[in-house]
Amino acid sequence: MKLVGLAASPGTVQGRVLWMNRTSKDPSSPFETLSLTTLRERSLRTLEDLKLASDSPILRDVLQAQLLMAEDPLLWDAIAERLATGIPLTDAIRQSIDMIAEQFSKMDDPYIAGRADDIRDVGQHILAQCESTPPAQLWPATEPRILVSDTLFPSDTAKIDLTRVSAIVLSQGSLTSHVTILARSLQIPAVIAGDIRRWLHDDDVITVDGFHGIVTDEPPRPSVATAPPSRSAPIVHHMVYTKDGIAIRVEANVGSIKDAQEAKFYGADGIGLLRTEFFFGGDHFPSEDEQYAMLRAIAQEAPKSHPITVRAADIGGDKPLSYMDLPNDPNPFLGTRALRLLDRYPDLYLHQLRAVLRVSQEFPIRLMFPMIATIDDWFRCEAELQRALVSLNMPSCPIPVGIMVEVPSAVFLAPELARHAQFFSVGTNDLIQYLFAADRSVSALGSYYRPGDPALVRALRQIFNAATNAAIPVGLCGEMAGDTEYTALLLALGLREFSVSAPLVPVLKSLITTLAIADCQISYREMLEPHSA
Amino acid sequence: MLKHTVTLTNPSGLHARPAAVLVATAKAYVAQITLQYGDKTANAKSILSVLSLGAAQGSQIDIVIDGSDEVAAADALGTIFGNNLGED
Repeated sequence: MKLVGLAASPGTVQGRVLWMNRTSKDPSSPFETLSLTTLRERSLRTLEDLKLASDSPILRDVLQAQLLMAEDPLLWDAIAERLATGIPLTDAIRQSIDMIAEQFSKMDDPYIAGRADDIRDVGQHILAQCESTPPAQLWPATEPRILVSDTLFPSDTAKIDLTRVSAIVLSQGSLTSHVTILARSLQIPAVIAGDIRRWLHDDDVITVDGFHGIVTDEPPRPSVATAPPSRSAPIVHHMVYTKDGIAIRVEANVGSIKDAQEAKFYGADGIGLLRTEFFFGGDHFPSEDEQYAMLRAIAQEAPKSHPITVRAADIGGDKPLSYMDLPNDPNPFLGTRALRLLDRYPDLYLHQLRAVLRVSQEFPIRLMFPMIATIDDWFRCEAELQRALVSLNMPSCPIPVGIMVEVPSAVFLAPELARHAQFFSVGTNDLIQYLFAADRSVSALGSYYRPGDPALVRALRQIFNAATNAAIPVGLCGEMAGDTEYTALLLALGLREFSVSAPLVPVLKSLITTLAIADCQISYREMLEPHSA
Repeated sequence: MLKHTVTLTNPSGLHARPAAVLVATAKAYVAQITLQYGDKTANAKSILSVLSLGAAQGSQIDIVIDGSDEVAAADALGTIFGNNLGED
């Protein structure tokens, strides 16, 4: 079981499911007959109590706005009007709330449209006051559990013990709904994942990956960035500077249109890695026009006016495709993947490169090739690019072309590769896997994923030195880039372009503003200079 | 009856928190206070009504104040708009 949804709040947690108990009331259960004035007073008083009892300033603000809605004359006039037609009070409330929420959800401004949830929340609250029996406990957890529900309203969160919520999985919500903002402020991982009722049941053991928007019944993948961020961070939509005034780009890794929307939402300074493998997810080899359309759709959703670094498709290896006859290599990570497939599929890259070049006429784009292990590999990719340029009647390449440095041989060849490439992007996930001969998919080998190991630091040092000597920029897009334990080390090494999963962008930006590169260099001098170690 | 035109200078326009400041101020007066934004009008004492204007930063809004304490109300509203409705 693997559900993919919105990465609403970062962090990865494994735990047991407990559904929220919002069963719609038995229709025959008695409702009190009470006057509108009494109902209004009771609703306002209980909402005020919830507000006063809340520890979270965000929740208090939300409940304050809901209090104003709950006393709004517009709402009570609507209820009174319907009541006068002779329908039961609860129906009058439901209809009035639905009408107002519906009007809001149609507003152009997504923020205002999102307030429809607040109105529905207020409606639930008022309806609850009509009931003569106290409601069952909403979420009766006695230990930390994963809260699962179709919806979660701010006033719900005021009624449950948030310290027992280890993660949240919802079927409805958005990145801007109050609950996801609250989850981020409380550092509770959260995913919004559509059709969850079929898959998740009480007491199921699941992993919630709020970095990538994934819910699965498998244990967490060994990865460096599993610890929740040390603190919540505000979303900023501009580049940040270190304390000593150096501008740092924090970009997002993107592998779908949803990811591109998240990148924009979380304030990424561009897309540092666009994985194009999802272009190949259909039932046939994607045509040039199909790839053009997908790339353009991403560019439209992405943060505007920032470059998108497109990685040429890294297909093959461990991901079989129904329409391609891929070799069944005994070790796919060391097998026929990316440009190594060109012998078998000579036009593998041609369509994609043409699509990239066409989209680059409209949006700022950079292109990079993965799995470059030799100088000849680079020339081979460059020849494919030339074919694409000639076929489009382009006299010269209009975009920067770079290399994803992820094979250890490329580290040793970095000085030569840096003379050809216009930029480097270090893929630490594969680089660590190949450097330490530790298969990423074998969880028992997770202990090899220590980006602070001197072997990796030396490799990074060589890559950065080669890039500096050739005066080309270097980015880093592996999990290491998003692990705040290594931010100071990477700044000391010379990294100025981080690319991370979108929810980590604010966390990293916030940390960077507290660091001075000069201090980082002093702290890491020993790691940077292996001779003195 | 008094009529004033204001430009929203606070960053988020008439979102929940600034709207709440406006509504709370308006409620302190008996005068009828109506906001006009484009072809929409809103009762300044109703948060639902104010939010449904969907007025963003930079919007021009006409405020019509009608009632016995309209002068005091106009003063108070002038002050809170001058203070960016409580936003930085």
